[in-house]
Formats: sequence, structure tokens, C-alpha cells
Amino acid sequence: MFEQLFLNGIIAGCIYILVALSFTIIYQTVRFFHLAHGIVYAAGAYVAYATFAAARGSWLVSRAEELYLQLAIAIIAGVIGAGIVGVLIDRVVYKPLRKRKAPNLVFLLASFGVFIFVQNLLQLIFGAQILTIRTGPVKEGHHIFGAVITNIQIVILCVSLCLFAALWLFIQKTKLGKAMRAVADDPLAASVVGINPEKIILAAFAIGSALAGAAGILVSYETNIEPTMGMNAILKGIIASIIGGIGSIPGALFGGLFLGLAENLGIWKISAGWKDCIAFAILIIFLLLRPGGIMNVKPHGDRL
Amino acid sequence: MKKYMRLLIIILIGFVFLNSCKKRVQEKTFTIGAVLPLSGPIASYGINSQNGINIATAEIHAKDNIKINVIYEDDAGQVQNAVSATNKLIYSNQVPLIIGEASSGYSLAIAPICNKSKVILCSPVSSAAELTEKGGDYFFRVCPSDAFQARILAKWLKEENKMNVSLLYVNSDWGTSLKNEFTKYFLPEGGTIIANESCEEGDRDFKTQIAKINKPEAQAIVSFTPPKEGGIFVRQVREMNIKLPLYGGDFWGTPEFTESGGEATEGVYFTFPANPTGTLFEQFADKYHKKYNKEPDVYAAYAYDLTNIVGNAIKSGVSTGEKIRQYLLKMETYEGVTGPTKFDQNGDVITKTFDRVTISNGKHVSIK
Repeated sequence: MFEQLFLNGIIAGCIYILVALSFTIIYQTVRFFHLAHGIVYAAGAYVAYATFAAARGSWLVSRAEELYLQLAIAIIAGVIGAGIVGVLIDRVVYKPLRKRKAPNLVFLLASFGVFIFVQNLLQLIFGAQILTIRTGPVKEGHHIFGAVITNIQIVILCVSLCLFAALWLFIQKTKLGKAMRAVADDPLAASVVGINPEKIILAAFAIGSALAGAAGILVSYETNIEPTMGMNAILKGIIASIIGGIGSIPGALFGGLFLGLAENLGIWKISAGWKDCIAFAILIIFLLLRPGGIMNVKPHGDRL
Repeated sequence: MKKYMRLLIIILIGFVFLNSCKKRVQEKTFTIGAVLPLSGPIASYGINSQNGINIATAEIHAKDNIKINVIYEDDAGQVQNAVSATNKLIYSNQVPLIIGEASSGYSLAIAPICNKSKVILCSPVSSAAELTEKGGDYFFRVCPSDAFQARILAKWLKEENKMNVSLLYVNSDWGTSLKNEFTKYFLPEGGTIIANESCEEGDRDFKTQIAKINKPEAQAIVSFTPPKEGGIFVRQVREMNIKLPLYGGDFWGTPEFTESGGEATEGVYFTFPANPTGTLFEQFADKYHKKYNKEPDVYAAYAYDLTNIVGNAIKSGVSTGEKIRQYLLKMETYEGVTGPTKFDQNGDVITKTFDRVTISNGKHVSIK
């Protein structure tokens, strides 16, 4: 039993980490709660679904490889689509607000508005019902170390690990990544040395949103697609970010993993209905006793 | 120029007025309300009901020349919206009858408001056992109470000699009332509930619950879960290599369940309101498919029957909530697409029973 719950926790944690990381990349440059990020996550899954449906409609698969090709096209389209949606949200809604030097509360409300708008848009286009991107018979899981793991869960694990590594290299090694960290540390000083903050924000939205889209697509393979999938995801992502230390990339990593494990191991001896309760209880405990999160992040200066 | 404009406007107004007069002479208009989730997390239940209502009102209009004007109010998945919408319909639109709510919890919340104003509340979906009493005099429903199907499921398991079961239920009015009724009838028969777990509406990951209810001594898994959750649940059960038979409630009979669970829904068992496949239902399914290009689910069918019963009440000449109540209590058994409907003193339907159903090749097959 422990092995299974531990594995469930790790896999849930991977998804939380992806959402928390993508949220953090955007948060550390703009410093407000981009709630609409949740709907970018859902939009990624929907774009992948629509592309997959279009691909299946336009050319019939004769071999298994072709099906994988269709899937690959759908996934790439979904990731790019999510990136575009995120950038659009920033350009259309947030940028004019930034120019006007709107207070943080306005950003929060605006992002909530965008969330509801896009969610209803998705519902109008695709309907409220559940959509499934998976086809074919149920594949039984593999037994390892006393736990059962399915193919899709293995994919979730591998893809997440690759994305974490790629993101880490990007942030540490590339010029753009370093510029992002500079803006995160001190936006004013960064602009003094010639970093254009608008450009960095654009990059953060593009990368963060694409990452969220990837998380949405991974989840849609495991548990289907529906318009309301974004809210729960962004809530858990934000909780993971706060637990880890808001605005910290290693924090998002530890926070997501901690949340996934705590939720799944926490209900070992008590009823599973307490899952969400555990997540929010941890959030409250952290807010009260260690507001800086696991990484003990100090409160930051001004927003751009 | 101005003069001509004025003349034109007067003529136009005159036309509109004459037109409306003409209509009023020809047909009877009757306004009722509907409070349903048309957006939000359970919007599909509301939208399907709305489709059923719309088909029925269009038919009544064509057949009996009675125009039933339905004012739809969307609760958007928030109980407080349902309450304010009900107040608006009663006090501002002054409707004598409201169709709603979908979720039993919401019906429980708005039933007292309707009772106070003597306005009929009739639900196509709410099946929680507690509504029998708490719904009050003015609450009616065309779907049978959950109490009944949980009883049938307990009997079914006993006949199959599966007396040790694991249970997963959704933590909602629907789930808990089924669980309570099931426990009430299963234990005295000598059954044992080995493991008992709950989940929340909106949960998408049941692997931890599955790990906990997967006991070697269990002979079956009983799962009172909604369509989306249930579909994902059965898929995850099969993915974890568990071969136990799965038993569920009427929610598993919706197309959404099969859509959500895919091939994992093959061979699952559930109880479902009887006779949804008769000739009448097929005719309805045809009409529904033509208009909405999808298969109707149980809510659409219930809503359709309900609206036709309301249409019959209006045809008989009753117009106030009190009179409609008298009509509903005394009316003859109505033969609809979901089977016969006749109400008892509590507003519960007493003529419907539940079938034992399994899914084979994606189709529902009744087990006699």
C-alpha cells in the first residue's frame, strides 16, 4: 500500500510542479497572481484535442507510427497554442494595465475575469461535456516495487523530468534565462543595465504558458478534458508555489513534490475525502508559521 | 422629413400592436420558470434538461396551440444563484411553477422558498432520498428517489452472492443518500462493507482511493459516482489490474460515463430507471438527435416528460400553484418516454422501477 500511495504522490506531485513552475516563471517577472494561468493550462489541452481530431479526420491511420505522428503534432500544437494564449492575455489585458500603473488588486481581478471569459469561450466552442483524447483499449499497468504504474504515468514522469532539466538549463545557462533572473531579483537594476523588461515579460509568458499547456495535455491523457479543469490545477499550483516559497524556482519544485506526497500519503489512514482539506491545511500552516515557504523567500520589492 | 418619420413610426407601432393582438387571440401563452445549471462545472446536466424542455414546449405549441414560455435562470454552479433566481421568478415574474433544480442539494435549498409562496417546484434530476420529506408539499419529481435503486442494488448483490463489497461514494447529497440507503438494506441481508471511501465531485485522480479499497476479500466494488468521475474511476481501476466486478448507480447510464471511461466501462453493472429504451423513447431520441445532433441522456428524457405533464396540467385549465398541485396529485398515470409517471402524496414518483443493466460493446444491455 505505501509503495502505491508514494508513487501516486510522486505523479500528482509532477503535475503540481509543472503548474507551479510555469506559474512561478511568470510570477517572478510580473509579481501578481496570474489566475488566468489555469485556463491557459486547459486551453493547451483543448488545442491539442482539436488538432488531434482534425488530424484523425483528415488522414486515416494505417500504421501505429502514423498515430504517434498525429499525437506528436497535436501535442506540439497544444504547447504552442497555450504559449500563444498566454502571450495574448498579457498583450491584450495586462500590458495596457501595466502602462496605466494599475495596482495589484486590479491585475488580480482582471486575471480572474480573463479566466472566466476563456472558460466560457471554451465551453461555447467545445461544449460542457467531457472530451477524451485517448483511444483504444485500456492498457493494464506494470508492476514495479509493489506498485502499479500505467504507460501514461511513465510518460508523465519522464516528460516532467525532462522539462524540469530543460528549464533548469535555460534559467542557469542562457542569456535570456539570466536576464529573467535579473528582472526577478531587481527589475529596476535590470533595466539600468539595459534589459528591456517588456521583452522579458513576453518571454516569461510564452515559456510559462507553453509549460502550463504541456501540463494540461499530460493530465488530459490521464483524466480527460473539460472546461473547468483549469481552476483546480491553478489552485494546487499556487498552493505548491506558496509552500515552496513564492517566486522561487527550486521552491516550486519542492512545494509541488511535498504537496503531492502529503495529499496522497495523508489519506493513508483517514478517508480520501480529506485530500483537499489536507492541501489547504498545509497552506494555512505555512502561511502562519513559515510565510517564506520551504525556501524561506524574503518579501520582494516593487513590481514593474 | 420629420413628419414622415413620425408617420412611419406610428404605422410601425400600429403593425406591431395589431400583430400581437392577432397572436393573443389565436394562442394561449403560459409562463413558467426553470432554474438549472446552464454553466459551471455541472452545466451539461442543465443543458440536457433544457434541450428536453425545449423539444416538449415546441411540440405542445404545435399540437395544442399552447405557448409555454420558459424563463431560464442559470445557477452557474452556485447555490446562492439558484436561490436568488428562484426569488426572482416567484416575485418578479410571478410564475406558478418552476422546473428545477438538477443537483439535489440545490433543490433542498430552493424548495422552502417555493413552498412558502405555493409555487410548484418540479425536478427532472434531483433524486436524493431526503427530498421526499424535506421537499415539502409543492415539490414534485419525475425521477424515482435514490432510496429505491440502492435497495435494488443490495438485493442484486445478494442474488449474485457477492456479500463482501468495497464501497466508494461521491461526497454529495446524491452519493451519501445512496450510500446510506445501500448500507441500510445491505447489512441486514448479511452483507459486509469491507472498505468505505469517499471522493469529491470534480476529483480526477482516484488511484489512492483504489489502492485503499482493493482488498483481497472483496468480491465486488460498489461505486456511487457521477458520470465523469465514475468513468475515470473505472478506467483507473482496470489500469491497476483489478478484475473485480464494478457496480454503480443510475449516473453510470449516461453517455458521459461511457465517453469518460471509454473501453473500461465494458462489463460494468448499474441500476437504471426502467424502460428508457421503449418505442416512445426511441422516437424522442430521434427527435433529440435531429435537433441537437447527440444522444439524449436520462435528464433530457425526464425533463421532456416533466414538461409534457406540465403541458397537460395547463391544458386542463389550471393556472395557480395550488391548482396545479391538485392536478398533479390526482392526474392519471402519464405514459412518457421514461415510463409511466404517477405521483404519491409526497410528490415522489411511484410507478417507476429500476433495471439491472450492464454495458456490452458500448451498448446498455438489461439483465432480467
